[in-house]
Parts: sequence; C-alpha cells; structure tokens
Amino acid sequence: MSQLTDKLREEIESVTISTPEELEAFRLKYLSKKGQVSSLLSQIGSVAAEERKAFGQKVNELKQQATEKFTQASELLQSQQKTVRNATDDITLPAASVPTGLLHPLSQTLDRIKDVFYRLGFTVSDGPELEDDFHNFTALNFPPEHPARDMQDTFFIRKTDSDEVDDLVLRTHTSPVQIRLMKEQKPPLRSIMPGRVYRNESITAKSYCLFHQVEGLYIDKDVSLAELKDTLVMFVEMIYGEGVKYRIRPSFFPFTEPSLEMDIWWGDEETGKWLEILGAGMVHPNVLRSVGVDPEEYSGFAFGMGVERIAMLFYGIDDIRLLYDNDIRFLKQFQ
Amino acid sequence: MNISLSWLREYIDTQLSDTEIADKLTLTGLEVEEITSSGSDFGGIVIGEILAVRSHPNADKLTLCDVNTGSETVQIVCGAPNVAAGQKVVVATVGTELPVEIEEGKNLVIRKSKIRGEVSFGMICAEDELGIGTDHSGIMVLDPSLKAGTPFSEIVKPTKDSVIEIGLTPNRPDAACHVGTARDLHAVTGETFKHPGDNLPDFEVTKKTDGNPSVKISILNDELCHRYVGIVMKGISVAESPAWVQQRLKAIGLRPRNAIVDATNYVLHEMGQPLHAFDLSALSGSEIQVKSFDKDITFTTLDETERKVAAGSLFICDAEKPVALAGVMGGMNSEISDSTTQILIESAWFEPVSIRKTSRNLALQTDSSYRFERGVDPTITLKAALRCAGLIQEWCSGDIDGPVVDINPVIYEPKKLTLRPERTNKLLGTSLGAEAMLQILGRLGFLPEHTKAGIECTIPAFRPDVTIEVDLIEEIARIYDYNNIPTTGRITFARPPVIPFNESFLQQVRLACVKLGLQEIYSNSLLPESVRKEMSDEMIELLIPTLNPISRDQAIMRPDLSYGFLRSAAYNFNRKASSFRAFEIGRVFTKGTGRWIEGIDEHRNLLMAVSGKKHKQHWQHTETAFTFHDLKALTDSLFDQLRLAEKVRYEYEDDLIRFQVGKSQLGIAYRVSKELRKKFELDNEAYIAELNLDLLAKAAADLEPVRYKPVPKYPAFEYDIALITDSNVNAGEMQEFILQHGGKQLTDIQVFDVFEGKPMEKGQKSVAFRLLFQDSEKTLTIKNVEPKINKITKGLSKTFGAQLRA
Repeated sequence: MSQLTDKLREEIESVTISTPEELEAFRLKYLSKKGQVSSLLSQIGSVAAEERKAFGQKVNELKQQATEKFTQASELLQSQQKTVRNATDDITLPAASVPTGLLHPLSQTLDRIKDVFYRLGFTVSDGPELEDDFHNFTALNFPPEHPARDMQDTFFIRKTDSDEVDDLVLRTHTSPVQIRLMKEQKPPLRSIMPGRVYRNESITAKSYCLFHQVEGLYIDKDVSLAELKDTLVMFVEMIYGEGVKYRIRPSFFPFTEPSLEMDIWWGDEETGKWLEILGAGMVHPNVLRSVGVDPEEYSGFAFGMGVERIAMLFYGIDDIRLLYDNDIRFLKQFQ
Repeated sequence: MNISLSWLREYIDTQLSDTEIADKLTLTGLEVEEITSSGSDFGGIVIGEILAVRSHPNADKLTLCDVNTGSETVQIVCGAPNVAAGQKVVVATVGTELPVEIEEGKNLVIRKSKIRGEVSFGMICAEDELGIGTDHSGIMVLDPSLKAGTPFSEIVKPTKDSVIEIGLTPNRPDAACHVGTARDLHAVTGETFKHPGDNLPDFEVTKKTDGNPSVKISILNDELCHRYVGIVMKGISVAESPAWVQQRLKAIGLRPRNAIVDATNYVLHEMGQPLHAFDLSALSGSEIQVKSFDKDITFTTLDETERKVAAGSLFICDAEKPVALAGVMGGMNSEISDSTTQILIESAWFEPVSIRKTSRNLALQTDSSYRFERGVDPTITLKAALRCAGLIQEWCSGDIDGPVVDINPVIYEPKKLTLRPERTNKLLGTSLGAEAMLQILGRLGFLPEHTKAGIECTIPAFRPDVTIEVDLIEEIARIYDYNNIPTTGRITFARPPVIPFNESFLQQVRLACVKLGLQEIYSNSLLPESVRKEMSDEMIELLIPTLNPISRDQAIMRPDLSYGFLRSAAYNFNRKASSFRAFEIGRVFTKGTGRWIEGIDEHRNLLMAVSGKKHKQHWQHTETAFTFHDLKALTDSLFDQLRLAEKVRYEYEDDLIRFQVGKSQLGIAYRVSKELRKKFELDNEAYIAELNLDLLAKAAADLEPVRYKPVPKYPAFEYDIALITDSNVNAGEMQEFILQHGGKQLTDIQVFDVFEGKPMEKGQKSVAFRLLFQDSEKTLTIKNVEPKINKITKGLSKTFGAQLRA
C-alpha cells in the first residue's frame, strides 16, 4: 500500500497547473469526494490493522499536499487574471484639488515673531492706526517743529477746521501704543505691540505707503541696556538662526536714550552686507515722565522692527508691492 | 552727508585705513552708508622727456613722439597742438588707470594700441586727463629741470580720496562737518585732533552797530538772531579757487564757483558754520538789518527763483530791501560776480525753529538751513568768519577792512550737567570705572571734572542735543561701543500677564477662516479719490480723507474691506485665475464714535468673500460658479466654529443678509451689484460678508468654556417631511417654525431636497425637510414622534399654506 501512496505523492508533485481548467481538473482528480486521495482512504479496510495508523497518516499528508498545491495554484492564477475595470477606477487619474486656506506671509512672519516674544514673557497690546499728535509725537519726545519729525513722512488727517486743534495723523510707528499702555497700566510692563503704520511715500519696489511693525516695551526697576541686548540677541538667533552675525550701533530716536540699531550680516562672507533689522533703546526719561512714571525709580527698554523687512529677508522677496497685490500665484507659495 | 577722508585726515592724525575709519564712525553713531573712491594715486604716471617729434603718416593732426620715460624710450602717438621735442611732459605708461570716467563706474585704462596704423605705448596727458584741472587745450608742459622717470606723485599731490556718505541722525548737528566727524573719531582712538579755528590771527573786533565805517550792522529781531558777525574785505579780485579746494568740494558733491563762494562753502563743510558773502557795493546805504516782516515778501533767491516768503520769516536787509533769506539762501540782488571787489562776509546764529519753518514753507532745504534748523554752535560764529576771510585773502588777495563787527545780543551760557558713574553702570549694565568715563567725556569736549556728586561736565556749545544726564550716559555707551556691553545670557522678568482675550480670539478667527479654505489677503488701507463715485451720499459724508497724500491713490481711509477684495479679485481674474476665495482682517475708518480718538470710528473688520468658479471643469465634478449659499455656508461655519451660532441672528433682505447680535448689527453678507463689479472690471459674480470683529469679540467674550456633554446612547429617529408651498414662501422661515415647535427631542433639521416644475403647478415648489429626533434616555419610535409631527404639519399648513406632498 505504501507504494501506492508514494506513487500518488510523486504524481501530485509533478502536475503542472497553469490554467483555470487545469486547476479544476486537478481538484476533480485529487481533491473531490471521488478523487484519488479519498478513494485511497476508502481502501483503509484492506490494510493490516497494525499498519492502519501509519497509512491513515500518509493519506492525510497526501491530502494536505494536494490542498496546498491547489491553493497556491489558485492564488497564482487569480493574481494573473486580468479583469476589465471602470475608467474611474484608474487611480493614476489626477484628483481634483481641495481648496485650502493659507495665512498671508506677513501673518506667518508676525506669528513667528510673536512666538519668540511670548517665550520671552511678553504679552500683546493694541492701539489705533489713526492717532493724535500727542501719542504719535509729543509724548514720545518729538518737540513741535523738531527736525526729528522729518524722519517720517506723515499722512495728516484734519480733525476740525480750527487751527487751534492739531491735525490727526496716521501713526508713523507703533510707538504710540507704548504711551497708551503706560497710561493704562502701572509697571512692571512687558508687551509687544504689533500693527500697521503709514508713511506718506511714493510706492516703489522698496517702499510702500504702509507697513507693519512690532513694538516691544519692558518697564521695571533696574532694567539695563545689557538686558535689552540679551533680548535682541535671543530674538535674532531665534529668527535668523544661532550662527547669525550681528552688530549693534548707536542711533537716534527721540523716545529712547541711549538709542541703537541692530544690523545682521546678510549674504556670504565676501559679498554680503550689513542690513538694519531693528531699532531700540532705553526709554527716554521724558517719555516716562509724560506718562507719570518716575525715571529714577523705573527704567525700561523699547524696540521696534519691520515685519515686511523680516519677511522679505526670510523668503527672499525683492519687491514690497507683492505683499499687497494679493496675487494668488504669489500667496500660495507660502505653504 | 558726504565726508572726504583725505580732508578729514587734516584734522586728525590717524593711522586707520579708510575702511577702518568708516567702521569706527558707524559704531560711534555716524552710520556710514556708502564709501566711494575718487581721484588717482598717480601710479604708473611718470615724467617723460620728448626726444623727437615726427608727423604721423596717416593723420594730419597727430604726431609721433619718441619719449624717454626713464627706463626706456617708447613711441607715443599724441594729438596735442603744443607738443615739441625737448619738453618734459606727464606720461601715463601702459597699464595706468586714469581718473577719467569712460562709462558709469569705469575709468580709462591705458593700453598698448595702434592709432591709425602707428603703435602707441602710453599717453602724454593734459591736466583734465589727470583729474587735476579743467584744461584740455594741450598737454602739460613741466619744468625742464625735472628728471625723466620721476613719479608724477612726487611733483603733484595724489588726488586719491575716499568719500563716505553718513546717514546723519537729526540730533548730531555737530557732526555735519569734517571737524565734528574728526572729533568723534578722536574720541574713539585718542589720536591727535586739531581744530582749524584754534590758531587764527587776531583782529580788532567791535561790538558796536556802527563800529565799522564801511557797514552798519543791526539786529532788529534778536529772538530769531542771537549773533551776527560781519567782516568787510576790500581789494578783492575774484578768481577760481585752488585746484585742491575744487577737488575737495567736488568730492563731497559741490560745484566749485569762485574763490569767495568756495571759501564760504569750504568753511561750512569744515567747521559747520553756514556763511554768506555779499557784494558790498550792492548793499544800499552800506547797511545790514536782520529783521522779519509782518506781511508776505516776494524775494528772488540765488537760484534765480522768485519766492513768496511768509510773514514772520527772518530776512537780512540793506537800508532799502531784503538781500538774503536768513539762514536759507542769499538773494540774486547781492550775489558775488566776477567784477566784485569788496565783500561782506556774514556769519550768524539763527533760531532753529524759525529757519525750519521758513525752509519747510518754501520746500527749500539748503546746506545752510539743514544746519541752522538742527542747531549751529553759537560760539564759533566769529572764528568761522575769520577762517573764511583768511582763506579768501590767500586765494584771491584782498584784505580785511576795519574792525570785525560782532553783534551778539543774546550771549550763550554754557550748561552744566553731572553724570553719576553708578547710575551710568546701572543703566548700561556695565562696570566701567570713573577714569574711563572721564577720558571719553574729555575727548568729546565735555571738560569733565570728578567731584563728590559725580562727574561734572560743561556741555560744549556744539552739542545742543545733550541736555540731561542720560544724554551723557549715551555718550559713554557709544564711544565705549555697544558691542562691548556684556550680555549675561540670562533674561529675567516679572511674571507675565496672560495673553488678552482679543488677541486669542483674533487668532481663532484667523484659524477658522483658513479651515474654511480661504486665502488671507492684505490690502491697502488707503483708497483712491475715485472710490467716492461708487458710494452713496451718506457714506461719502462718513469718509475720512487724508490731508496731504503725495498720490491721489491714497486719498481716503477705507471705510470697509470690500474695495481691497474686489480689486484683488479682478487682479487675479485678469491673470487667468478661475476662482478667488479670500479673507482679510483689518482696520476700517469712518467718522463716528470709536474706542480711541474722539470723532473717529476705527475698528477691526473681517471680510470673507468668494468670486468666480467654485469648481473648474473636472472629471470628478462639473463646472459650477459660487452662489450666495456658498458664502452663507462660510458665515454659518464661522459662527459655528466660534460657538456663536446661537447668538447671531440672520435677517434677510433681497440679496443681503444682516447679522445681528442683540440690538447691534454685526455685519452684512451680500451679492456685489453688477454696477459695482463693472467699476472693477470684474465679470464674475462676487459675494462678500463683512463683520465687525470688535463686536464679534464682545459677543464671544462671555461664552462659557467648552463643557463635555454625554454622547447619545440611544439611536436617533429620522423623519422626512416634503411640503408643497407657494414659491414665495421662505424655506428659512419654515425651518425656524419647525425648530420652534419640534420640542427638545428635535436635535437637527436639514433641507434635503428643493424642486419646482411638474407635477406641481406653476408658482409652487417642493421643499423637503429631514428631522432628527433624539432622546438621551430611550430609543424613540414613530409613536413618540408622531404627535409632534402632526402639530408641526398643521402649523405649517396654517402659517405658510404648506401641504404635505403625497
């Protein structure tokens, strides 16, 4: 009997199945109820009692062998089978795009700036874009008829027809928010003041009639210029990377004394140049006095930077007008 | 402001290179914006001897010269008429760069060349080709005793110079001249500093109005003129100023005129004192009166412009008429001419605000007004006049005649200030010793003295910007160099307050809009004059115009954000965009009542808007244009995201929705009219929603924080009602009715179908609602819901004439 099983095993092994018809023939020949494996099993009665167990085992192995061969062949055939699919089942077909929203690059830049100063313990404050002369100039230590007022080309707004009343202005910087904040709240104060500011200039690739600034103010006891430096250094490192090369040089703003500007080195060692990125200084005693803070008791620093300048450096934008044309081919690049 | 470094080096004996000077000045507060080179070091230029001259075979006007340049004899082609054998001439050898610009930023370089077939190894130079004069009539012929091969730089001082452009801050009038710039450099390096006013010869000075018989000088308005010095010079013959003077003036961007005018300019840029020279014979009555008029004056200034000068402006007048606009510009009527033989030099101190007003009113800024309005040193008046007279004497003969007149009704009183060293270190975060501070202040001219109270300083008259202690602290810091101030690497601060609600709300709104697929835009807050044409009369009344825009495009503050959107939409459609969906957050301005400035309503608005195609033609969907409902979907979702859906009420008009919270109107949503679209050349329909964000924030401010509600355990029960109504019945009102009468279990309602046409009659429509009932305690069945449905359908029938569709 064992010859029978051996012979059948070799036979099963040698069968090749390459078509569905051959697969079905194989199934009928070996695995169906009347197939050769089952019919072998039906002969178990003619096997000697002591060999029955071994025989049964061998037949079972045969059955398993045939089943495995059938499954493998069937899977192989199925995978080879070509079906006719629907045209839209073609997943290489390009899909319709999903409209997505996006923040303007200036908002993205402002958010980055805010993130840095939130980490440094600053909160945020707000003021009007249409300001009075007092907040935009006088309280910031710009005397009337002082040449410092010429540093910023100003848009004026007539308030009344009377010559006695000063014209209003479109704020030329975010610094008037400092005054509003100090009038409202007592020190310690630590806040940034982002916002839109205006300059009465013609529109070119380099200048626009408005732009955005972030003002910062810190007033407390014993605030020093060294702390201001630490704050600014941390800021430029967070925005421009830790290896950023910077320098600080004296400058002039009527509302700070000492005043300074910070430049960063832009470009490579050879062809690069210093670019001014912010102005800052220690709050002028006259400013503190104008809001009722004693400059002997408190000191503080203030700084201001242009959001456009930072965004343009960051993204390599060479024409400021792009930021206000709202061309979606431009805006969609800032993903 | 331009500073010539070779000129600067006359007042400070410095070892620094030109670029080092520029860097040092920048770090002391005189920011060098640009450094440019001019002139020549005369490298490659030597004395040559012309050995022989032959005519050029191919050109009548050219000659061939054999020239000994010391090391060799070469042939040079020359075109000058005065060339002759035996002359000692100036030769630019092959490879020499001459200070002659052949194109923008590129100088002439001498090369071996063929001129009409004859080889030429260099060039025999005329004055102008060397940049030392204007003569081009012939080559320079030098002293015959000079040796061939001698470098030209040994005979004429090289003209090589670097000019720096300083972006001068308005607080530093002292540095608006070469001496002042040198003083700052001296403060940093400690190198020897010389002031040209220190060693002037003595002259007899009179303080009397008529102290000089040739001219009577009186100040009638001593509020505006504190000091007036006049020097009479006679026997003048007007000549050109020396070449080196012209060189310097040209280097800093001035046009040389004649020795007298050049001398006044020279001293202005040397010492910072503006000067003026009158032709004395042109002054009626030999008299000077400094005065202002209480009426407007018509006056012709040196630049041949007739100007109407406002009453109150200060003039210099002779016995009859104005002869100069004080501190701004001289008059045509007393100008120096070639025939001038006697002059009056004016050196004065004018009050800054008055000069600034005059200069501003006339839109006329001059080197003189620039300095007066910032503050000129009131103690240098006499010295500068004497220095100028000395130069004129040297450059075109003539002598000072009679005593120098110095009328000085307001005497300058030097101010004293005390600097506390410990206060200085505290404010700067430094630990400088008093010695270091004394040194810095000393070099800057503050005459510091260490006393018990601190360092006592006498403020020099050339520093009107230094008025309080902290100004002295800045002096210390800027000379010490800000970059040397130590940073600790530590930042300490008082416990920061929380981020204000308005700020986080704004971020929430911004995020909500981005989630809705809208592109954020930034538009100009200033609108062109022409927008008035698109506005109603009531709106025009509320507009805020700017007073002095340099462009008519920036004439009006935006009263809302729609202009920016429409303009941007048209811009993009013109560039083949198919759709434009955008939002903007920005301030808007009208007359009214606002938070900050009396009479001005300035608040923040949010614009959400769509225009163009919602879908382009694509295999996944057909082309569809945006409709009003797409905009409504955006506002619905916005209010949902802000949890304000229940607070905001929609009120409907034709093509317009008003959003109300309580009694106040939050904003509107509308279809842009065809007429308005036409103004913007916008073919596509556009839908705009604009909301007052300040009011929206107020509505959101008192919202309870989000609290979790259990998710329903039992399944919901859905029920559909299809209604036939008259076409004019509003679906929104029916939905409102259903919600009101649906009871607590009615949790959601949707319109899932709307149609008209057969089988309905004309003027009818079908609206189908899907109602969702839910109970947190049990599973609902038709039995639970039926009574409510019946009540609702009866009500709809009664109120709206709506019939259930079979």
